[in-house]
Amino acid sequence: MEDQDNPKSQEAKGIVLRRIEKFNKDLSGLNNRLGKVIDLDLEVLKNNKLKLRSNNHSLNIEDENFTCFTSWIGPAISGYNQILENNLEHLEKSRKSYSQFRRKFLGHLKGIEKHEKNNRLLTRYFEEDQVRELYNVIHNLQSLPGFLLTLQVFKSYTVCQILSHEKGQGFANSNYSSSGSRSTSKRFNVEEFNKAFQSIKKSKSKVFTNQGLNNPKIEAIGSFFAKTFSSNRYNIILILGRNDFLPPSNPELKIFEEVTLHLEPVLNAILRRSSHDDKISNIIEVLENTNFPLSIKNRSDNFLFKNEAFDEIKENELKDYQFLERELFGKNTLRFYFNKESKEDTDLYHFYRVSLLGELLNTLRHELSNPLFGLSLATDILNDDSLDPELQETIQDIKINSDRCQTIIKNFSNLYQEEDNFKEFDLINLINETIILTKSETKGIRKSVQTDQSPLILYSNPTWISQIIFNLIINAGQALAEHFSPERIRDANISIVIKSDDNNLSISVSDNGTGIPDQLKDRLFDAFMTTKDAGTGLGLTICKSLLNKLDGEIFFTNNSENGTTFTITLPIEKL
Amino acid sequence: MKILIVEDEPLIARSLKKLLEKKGCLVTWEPTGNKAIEIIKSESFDRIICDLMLQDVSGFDVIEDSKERYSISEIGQKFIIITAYSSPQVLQRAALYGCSVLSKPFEDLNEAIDVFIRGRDLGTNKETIKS
Repeated sequence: MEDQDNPKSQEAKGIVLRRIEKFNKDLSGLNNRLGKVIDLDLEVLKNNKLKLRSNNHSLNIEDENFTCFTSWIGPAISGYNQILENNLEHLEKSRKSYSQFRRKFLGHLKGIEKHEKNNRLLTRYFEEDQVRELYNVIHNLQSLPGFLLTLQVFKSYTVCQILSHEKGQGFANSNYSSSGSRSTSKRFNVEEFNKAFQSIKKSKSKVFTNQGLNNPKIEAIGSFFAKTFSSNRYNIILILGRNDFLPPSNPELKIFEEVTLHLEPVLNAILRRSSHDDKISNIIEVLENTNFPLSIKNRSDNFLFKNEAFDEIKENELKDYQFLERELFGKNTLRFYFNKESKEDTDLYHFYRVSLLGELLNTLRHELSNPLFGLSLATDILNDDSLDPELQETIQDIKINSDRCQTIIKNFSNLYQEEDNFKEFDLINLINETIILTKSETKGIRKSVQTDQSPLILYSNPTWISQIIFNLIINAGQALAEHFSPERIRDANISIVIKSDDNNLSISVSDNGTGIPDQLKDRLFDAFMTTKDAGTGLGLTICKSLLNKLDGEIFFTNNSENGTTFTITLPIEKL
Repeated sequence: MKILIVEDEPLIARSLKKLLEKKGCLVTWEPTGNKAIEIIKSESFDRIICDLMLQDVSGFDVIEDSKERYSISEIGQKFIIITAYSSPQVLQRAALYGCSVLSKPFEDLNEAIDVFIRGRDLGTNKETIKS
């Protein structure tokens, strides 16, 4: 037992003995107050073994190096103390919970035993609070060298340097600390890093001198320990020295090897965390500088984050903004604000959609129109009284069908004509055409049109009105498809009711779905508000914007039984 | 009466040819614009019924090249444009030549045949009149 003469070992033994003494004092105090509730002996045997005994449970722990006692006895005793402290008051109130206390206590004992058997890792050399510090406080490499020098186990060293290179980067970082001074961080060329990394990695020895390595980036003087670590993202060099030329002893080498072995996962965790922090600071910078006002609020409605654009909004202007809200992890909410008045975006979107569809339909119309007209004309020529009546009928059917195709394509392209196309048209006919357009989105759903007048000739913008009706029918269809299973879709129903007097027109589109949930009512016409995965959230916004242009209005009511009715009203000129 | 039909849709051309022949006209049908131009330069016609969207050139190109042979006023009398795409631009350009425009499909076939035989100012196709 050569280590017994080692002053470090003696010091550690002193710590252990003082702790045991305090523990025994606390315990006997407790036992005096409560009667003998805990049966526990803690004893240091002559051969440096420690003996723990409680009831019939006994645990003998031995270690070849007495220094290591501090590592596990520290957490063990603080664990016991905590249990004593937490339960003391409770125990005094009720002796009944003694069994519960005892169970916890023995559980902790077993935990220590297990710990000692399976995990001779960090706590063997580090005190528990140091381990906690290492995991929780050390977020970046800059503070790590200084921290390592404060460890009991590395107490005799004076300098520590960590050089790191994130793979793919053109530079490497150096973090250097000499005892007592703050650590410094430097950035340097990756080639110098690679040179040092390779020569340390290849060497069988762990002990180096700076003459041997001949690398200006290594700041330790004399002989020192060096070790390389490599993860899939980082290469790291750890250097630990005393700035002297005395080579380290064998036990020191052994401790260095063992501790650095355990350091590897810690290093990786720190690097991951620091690159994670980098990422977060990048994201924050982007959020900070984006032109869209953003805020994050916590559950009690306090701001956690506001970006510059948000700060620029004056308080009395905030009401002019709409926002999109998303719940983040931990019940915080992200709000993305945009100006209500700026309708340009939705209008532009609508314009693109209409003109694209209009163009498409126009092309289709031209391509189909000519051959269809040819078919129709040809039937006129072919139809001769001398033909067999059945053949005549067939030729007549060809004519009827080709004329029908012609009409359909014409009506479709009329629906998407140029924007400012005000003209006379029959509203009932327009609505029927629009219903045909929505066919694919309202499959299987019954649709009815009720009107007190047909035809109903108006002077207005048929493209816009058709667009509005189209959006309302599509919305109703999608709501119904969500509410009714495919087998029951036959019960779904969309009814369109048209009422008019000399000056006003109202068109209502009702469905018998679930109705609009209360929480959505206020935001229904807001741009980008959508409950559908593939929705743009612009349908109703477009309706509202088109109705504004027509001096009309749109509103909705949840029906008394079920479903929703959207109603649009328009001033009209009936013809 | 000699009529040239410049139209690339065979069903339309053949039908019109038949109908006009029934009325006693002598009808030539040409589906491509370039050939039609050659024919126009070498043969004289009382009426030229010309589609705008041909496969090779536009009907306006045919009219433009016919200026070699016919004066503007003759062009206005001889040419009748038939088109499936009577946009305001088309109508405006047709007006420059003084030509009638009939939209395909014709609303009333007999009226259309009438226009072909008797020439401009008799067009009753609604779209033509409105514009």
